[in-house]
Amino acid sequence: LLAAAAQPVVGGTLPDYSLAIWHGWNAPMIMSLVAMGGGIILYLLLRTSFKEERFTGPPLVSRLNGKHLFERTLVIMMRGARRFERRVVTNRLQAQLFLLVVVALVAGWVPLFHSGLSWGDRPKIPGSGVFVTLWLIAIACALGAAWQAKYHRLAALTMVSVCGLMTCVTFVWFSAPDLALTQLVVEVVTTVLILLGLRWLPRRNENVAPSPASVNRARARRVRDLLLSGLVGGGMALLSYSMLTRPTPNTISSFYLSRALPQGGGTNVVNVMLVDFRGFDTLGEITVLTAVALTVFALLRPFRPPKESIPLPAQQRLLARDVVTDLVNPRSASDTALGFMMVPAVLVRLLLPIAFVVSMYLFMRGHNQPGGGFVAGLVMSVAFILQYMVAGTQWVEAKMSLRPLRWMGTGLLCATLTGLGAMALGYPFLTTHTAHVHLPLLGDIHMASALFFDIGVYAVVVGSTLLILTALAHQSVRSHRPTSLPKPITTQGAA
Amino acid sequence: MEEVIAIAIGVLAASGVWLILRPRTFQVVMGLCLLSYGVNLFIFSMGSLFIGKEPIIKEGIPHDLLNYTDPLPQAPTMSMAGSLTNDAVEPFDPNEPTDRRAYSVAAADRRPDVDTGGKASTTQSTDQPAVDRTWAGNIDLLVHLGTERRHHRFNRRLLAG
Repeated sequence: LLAAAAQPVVGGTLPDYSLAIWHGWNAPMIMSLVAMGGGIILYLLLRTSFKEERFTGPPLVSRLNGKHLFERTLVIMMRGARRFERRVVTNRLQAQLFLLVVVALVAGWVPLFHSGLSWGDRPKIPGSGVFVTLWLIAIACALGAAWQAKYHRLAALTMVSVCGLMTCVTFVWFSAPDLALTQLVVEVVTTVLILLGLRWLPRRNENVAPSPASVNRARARRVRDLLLSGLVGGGMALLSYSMLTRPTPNTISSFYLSRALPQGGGTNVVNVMLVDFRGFDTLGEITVLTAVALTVFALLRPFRPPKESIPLPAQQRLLARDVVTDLVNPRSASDTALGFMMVPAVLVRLLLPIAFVVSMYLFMRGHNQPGGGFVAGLVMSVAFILQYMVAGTQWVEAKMSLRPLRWMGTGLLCATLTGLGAMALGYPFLTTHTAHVHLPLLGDIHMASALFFDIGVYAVVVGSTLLILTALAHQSVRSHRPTSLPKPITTQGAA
Repeated sequence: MEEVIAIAIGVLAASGVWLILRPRTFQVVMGLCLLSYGVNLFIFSMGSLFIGKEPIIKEGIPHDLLNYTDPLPQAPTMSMAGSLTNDAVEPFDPNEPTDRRAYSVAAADRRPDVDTGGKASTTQSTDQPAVDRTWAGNIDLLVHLGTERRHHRFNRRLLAG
C-alpha cells in the first residue's frame, strides 16, 4: 500500500526502506521514552507553579524579545557608524583639501622613486630674454599673491591677473592662438566677477588677539603647508621639465591634423576638434556650464550681504555736505551715467554694438581661423558686464531685457538639435556636414553644421556668464532695499 | 625656454596649493586661480612647444607634426580655461564668515537624529501590550514597561556615548 502511494510522489524507483510495527529496543525508542519520562517529571515538579500561573510564556525564550533584539542591533550599528564617521569624516574644507593634495602628491612621487627621472634629448628652443623677464615678473607676482592674499585682497587679485596674462602670453608665444584668446577673455570675466564679489567681503578686524597656543598651532600648520606646496611645485616642475625635453610621442595628434580639413571641413584644427571630433565632450561641457551658472544663482539667491558691508564705502561717506559733487551717491541718481561717470558711460555704451560686431567676427571665423563660439560668447558678455559696471544694475535692467535663462536654454537646445539632426539623417550623433553656399551678395560662404553647434555654445556662454553676473549684481540692489536714501555722514574738513 | 616654463609651472602650482590650504575664502579662490593657470600650462606643454607653428592648416604644407604644433593638448586646455570662470566663482560665497573656523560646519544636526529615534520607538512600544486587564496582566504590563524602559534607556546611552 505504502509503495503504491509513494511511487507517483517520488517518481521513479523507491529508496530502500524497512517498515515494521516493532523494531525492538533500539536507540530512538529509548530516547523517546527518556524524553516522555523527563517531561512528566518536570510537569509533576512544576505543577504548583503552573496552577499559580507563574509562567506566561515558554521559559528562557520569552526573555528574547524580537523587537528589542532588532532595536538593539540597530542602535549598536548606528553607534558604530557614527563613531566611525566621527573618526574619518570632516566638515572642514581645509582638512579635506589637505588630504586631497597629500594623496595626489604621494600618487605622483611614488612612481618617481620607483623608476627615477631622466631628461630627454629633444633640441631645446633658444631662450628669449623678453620671455624670461616676463616670467620672472609673473613668478614674483604669484609668490606675492600667495603672500598677500590674506589681508590685501585687491593687490592679490591684481597679481593673480598678472600671472593669468603671462599664461596668455605663453600660449601666444608657443603657437596656441585659440587658447590665448580664450584665456584673455576668461581672465577679464573672472577678474570682474571677483571684483564684484570683493565688495561684500568683510573688512579686516585688527583687534583680534589670538591666544599663544593657537599662534603656535598656526605656525606649525604654516610650516607643514609650506613644505607640502614646495613638494607639489617641485614635483610639477620636474615632471614638466622631463616631459618638455622629450620628443613628441607619436600619438593620435597626426590623425587630427590630417583629418581636420577633409573630414571636419575647417582649417583651425583646435576648433574643429572642439566642435566636431570632440563635439560630445563640448556638449557635456556647456551642460556643466549651465548647471554651474544655475548653482551659483541658487546659492547666491538667499544671500544677504553682512551688516558691516552694507553702508557706503568710506570714500563716499567722507564728504562734506556742502561740497557740490555728483560723487556723493550714485545710487540715488536715476542714471549714474549722467554725473561724473558720463565720459566712460558714453564710451561703454558705444562699445556695445562694436563688441557685438567683434564677437560675430570671432564667431564666424572660428572654424578656419582662431576664434569660435566660446570666445565670441565671452566677448559679448564682457560688453554686457561693462554696461552693468558703468550704469548700475537697475538702469541696465530697465533698459535692456537680458534673459540669461532663455539664452542658456536656447543654446543647449540648439546644440543638442544639431547632434540629433545628424542622427535623423542616419549618421552618428553630432556628425558634421560641411557645405559651401553661394549667396547673391556675400559670395561663397563656408557653412558647416558645426556652425549651429557653435551657436549653441555661444548662447550658453553668454547666458551663463550673465546669470552669474546678475546673481552677484543683484546683491547691491537687495542690500539697499530696506534702507531709505542713504545719508552721507558729514565730517568737518574731510573734503 | 623649457626651464623657464617648468619653473613657472612649479611656482604657480606651489603658490596655488599654499593658498588653497589657507583658512579664508578669498585665499582659496585665488589659490584655485593660480593652480588652474599652472595646470593649464602643464597640460598645454605636454605637446612639445613650438614657435610659429599654429595648428591652422595652410595650403601646400603637409599636414603632420613637423609643420604644425600638436593640437591635441590644446583642445582640453581650452575646455579647462573655459571652466576657470566657474572654478573661480563657484566657491565664492561671501556668506561665509572669514574667521579661522570658516569652514567648520557646526555639528548641530546630530542631536535631533538621536532624539527622534528614541521618541519614535517609545511611543510605538507603549500602546502595544495594554490588552490584559487582570491583576496579573497589570503586573505583567508593569514588568514589560520596566524592561522596555530599561531597554530604551540603555539604547539611548549607547547612542549618546
